[in-house]
Amino acid sequence: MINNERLWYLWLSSIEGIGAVKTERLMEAFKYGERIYRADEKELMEKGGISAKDAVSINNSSNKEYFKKHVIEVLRKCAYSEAEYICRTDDIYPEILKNIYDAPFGLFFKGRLPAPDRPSVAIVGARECSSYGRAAADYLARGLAVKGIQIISGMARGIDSVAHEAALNAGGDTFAVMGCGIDICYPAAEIELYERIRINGGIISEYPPGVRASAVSFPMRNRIISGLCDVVIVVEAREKSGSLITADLALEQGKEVMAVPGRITDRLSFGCNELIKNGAVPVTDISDVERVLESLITGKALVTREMTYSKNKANSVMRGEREAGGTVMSGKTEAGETVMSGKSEAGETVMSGKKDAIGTCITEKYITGEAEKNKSGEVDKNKFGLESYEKIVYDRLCLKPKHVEEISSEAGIRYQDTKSILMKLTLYGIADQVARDYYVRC
Amino acid sequence: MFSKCFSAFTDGMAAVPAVVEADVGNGLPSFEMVGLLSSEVREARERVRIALKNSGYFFPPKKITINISPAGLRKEGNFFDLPIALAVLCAFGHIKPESFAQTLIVGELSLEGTIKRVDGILPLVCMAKASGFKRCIVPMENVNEACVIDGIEVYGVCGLLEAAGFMNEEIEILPAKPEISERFEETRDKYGDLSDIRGQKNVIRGISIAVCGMHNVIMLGPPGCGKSMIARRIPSIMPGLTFEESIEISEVYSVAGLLDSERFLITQRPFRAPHHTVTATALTGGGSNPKPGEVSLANHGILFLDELAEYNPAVIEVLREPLEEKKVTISRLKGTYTFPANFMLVGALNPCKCGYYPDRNRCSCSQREIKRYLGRLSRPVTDRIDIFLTTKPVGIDELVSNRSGIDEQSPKPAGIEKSSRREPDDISSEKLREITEEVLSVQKKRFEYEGISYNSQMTPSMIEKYAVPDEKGQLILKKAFEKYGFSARAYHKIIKVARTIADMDGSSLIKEMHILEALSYHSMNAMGVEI
Repeated sequence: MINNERLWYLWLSSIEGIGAVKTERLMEAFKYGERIYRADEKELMEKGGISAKDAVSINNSSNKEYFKKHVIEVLRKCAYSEAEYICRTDDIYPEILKNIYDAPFGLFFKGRLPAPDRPSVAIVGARECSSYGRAAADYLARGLAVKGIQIISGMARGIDSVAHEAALNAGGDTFAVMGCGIDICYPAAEIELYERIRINGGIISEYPPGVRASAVSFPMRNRIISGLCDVVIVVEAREKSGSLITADLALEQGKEVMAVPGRITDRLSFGCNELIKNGAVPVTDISDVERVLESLITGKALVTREMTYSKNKANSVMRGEREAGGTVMSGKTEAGETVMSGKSEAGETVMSGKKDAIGTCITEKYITGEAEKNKSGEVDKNKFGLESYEKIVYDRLCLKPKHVEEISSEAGIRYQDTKSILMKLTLYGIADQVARDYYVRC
Repeated sequence: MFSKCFSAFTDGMAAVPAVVEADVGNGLPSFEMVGLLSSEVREARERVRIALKNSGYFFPPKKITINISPAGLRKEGNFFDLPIALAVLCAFGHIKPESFAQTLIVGELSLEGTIKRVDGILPLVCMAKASGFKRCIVPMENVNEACVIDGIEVYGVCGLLEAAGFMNEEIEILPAKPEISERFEETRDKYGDLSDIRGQKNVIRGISIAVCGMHNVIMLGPPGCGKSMIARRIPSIMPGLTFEESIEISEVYSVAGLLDSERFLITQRPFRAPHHTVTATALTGGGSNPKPGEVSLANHGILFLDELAEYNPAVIEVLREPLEEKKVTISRLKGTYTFPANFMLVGALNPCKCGYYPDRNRCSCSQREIKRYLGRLSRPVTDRIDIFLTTKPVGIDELVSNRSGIDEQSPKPAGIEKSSRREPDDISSEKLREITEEVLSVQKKRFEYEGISYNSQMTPSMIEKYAVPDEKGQLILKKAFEKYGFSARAYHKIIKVARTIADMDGSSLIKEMHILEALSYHSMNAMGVEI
């Protein structure tokens, strides 16, 4: 059962012209939501200190029909789409978000909210990103997620979705802040990602169900992205980009802004390089982010991997009971068992335990490959039984997409053979074709 | 008096023999023509009468009746003027009736009595030979075209008087002799050489594979990087035409009216590049009296569709049948017409509207726009494309490095200078053509009893028979299938291309490397790669 105050918050925030700031002022003055509902214009203006126009619109909304349409109906829709509504007075409202100016009074969410005792990093960037941006977002999100850091982004095409996807693939938690109603998947094509995020993290929005995305809603949602995290990383941004708005908001909110440097000639890196010029910390490695996080966070020191994951698992088991989905149910007992021994066990077991529990698809290769990476800092390609020619070709690959011809002439191998070898490396998952004939190493 | 002579007309690609009968009798003077004639045939009445008069013949006021049989088939075209005129002359007693024996006559008359060319002479002469005619009398302008057929005497005539004189053996005309052997030896310079292309090694390799197995191919790339240039040079790496192929192509061109006394035989691989505003009818052929379209004119050659995404999607859709059946069938009320369409499709298009994707510094098309642009190619059509290639922008180094004669101001004849400066692995059309010829002969031998001639035409049962990958190859194929979830059609496409690559390697087994390379040419969507 929903706490009564929430209804009034929801009602107030649905009124046009009444934002978070005015809501707060009114609530402080009247103490109870119902009093605002019963108050007349004059009282509202005198006590609440709001303009006549706002008072009129509040008064116009103080009727049963309005309340039913904008509060009861919204909550019914929430229940229908399995979303929850919380407001600032609730305990689980993220503390970190309360501190920002213009913090949303109410939040809708599906799944979970970011855990307050774990660091969060926002990874944002251009929709129309380059393969370099993709690779960088993937690398960062993956690396950070594996370390138990929560990845927050906006689920837009491009960098945002890559970051979410990478975090999910690494078995980490990720949260999407939407610029539209909580029940709308925007972009619609990303419905699969949306569902995965809901299961392995959460979908968050300040907009009630059914609200369409609009030009203003995205900058508004950016303040929540930056508000929820400790560090914002801008991966790729053009000169005038929404990601830069997020960065500005983050600075206003006192968050650290980091940027992935790019080539000075790349238009997609103009924004990032500009940020670095203005004092943002350049990211070239996961450890850069860790260092910043360590210096920033006093209360929640970086938790170790083992701890993070056992905690994670406990979460998922709890959710398993609640959701009673097929996979979750079957995974529950397994996961439960691992939880018992999880704390003392190595990260891999825990990870695979989680994999079973929540049905994500972490490939065997990735787990072992990642473990290898953590030990020596690089994937041990001998693991995949590469032959000498394949090694030569593999050595020519880097994170920047390279054309087959370039690789062929550098490696001194016939064009068609290079192509075959690259295809093989791709099939074994240690190289990737980002666009036709352009390859990167994984 | 009654007389008859033999003529013929074309019905689509088919030549149909006809008998022209003339009767001169008493009665009210008239000139009647019967036999299900179209208006251009019916108008022959005026042309014949005036041509006879202007040639100096006296036209007595008699009842003249012309019948062209078979009466059940509609006759179209300008073939009948000369046979009608000669039949009338015979009926009046100017020509000996026995001179018409085993003689096929076609030709259009002008009012002054000269004889003008007709279209589709080649299939007519072929038919004449097949049905046992001894000689053909054709317009002088058509004689080169007609005389390439061996085993039948072809006589060219310029005027009505000459024709009548020849029939009466008063004038001697020698049967025309073709000079086609030298035509086949003509240089291929017309196409240019693939060594003109800078960079784009990958595309040339892909094209070479495509030609070796007659696979259809699509090139994707930014503007100005040589897609069209490469396409125009594809015929230069195809093997020369055999005489039979040449006749087959020429017949189509003859029916389409594209041959003349200068260019009377097609001896080079056709290269057809219709503009993207082309209509479906122009592409496949059609009209009330169906004429061959671009796909048929590209028979045994290349049909190049530049800016493939700009074509009307409905036009591209009509390519489905010819791509599958290697022929076009057009149905009309009066009959069904079949034209050959055994061509290799080469398409070129930009990856997006601005053309620069995936170079994000220049392209700001959204993912959706790119999808929509490429989406103009329908699935059924891309399914019939075996090889997808991407061209990349050409660097300035590649443009200038191999150029000869730039620093020495004097323009030297290309040839030697060029080749000595080239890297050893540089590609020339000559070399590639040798490979193609070799690979095609391997395929010819393989499919001797299968009724096909190229790897790309293999049916699933033939694939099982001739294109089995070795153990390692099967393993890698399995892996690819797990990763990309290919369809059965995709499997066959990959195997066909792999077969061709193995043939180029001189390997009877399909090895891992061949499968891998074939995979890398596989279609644009199935790989999880946007392009």
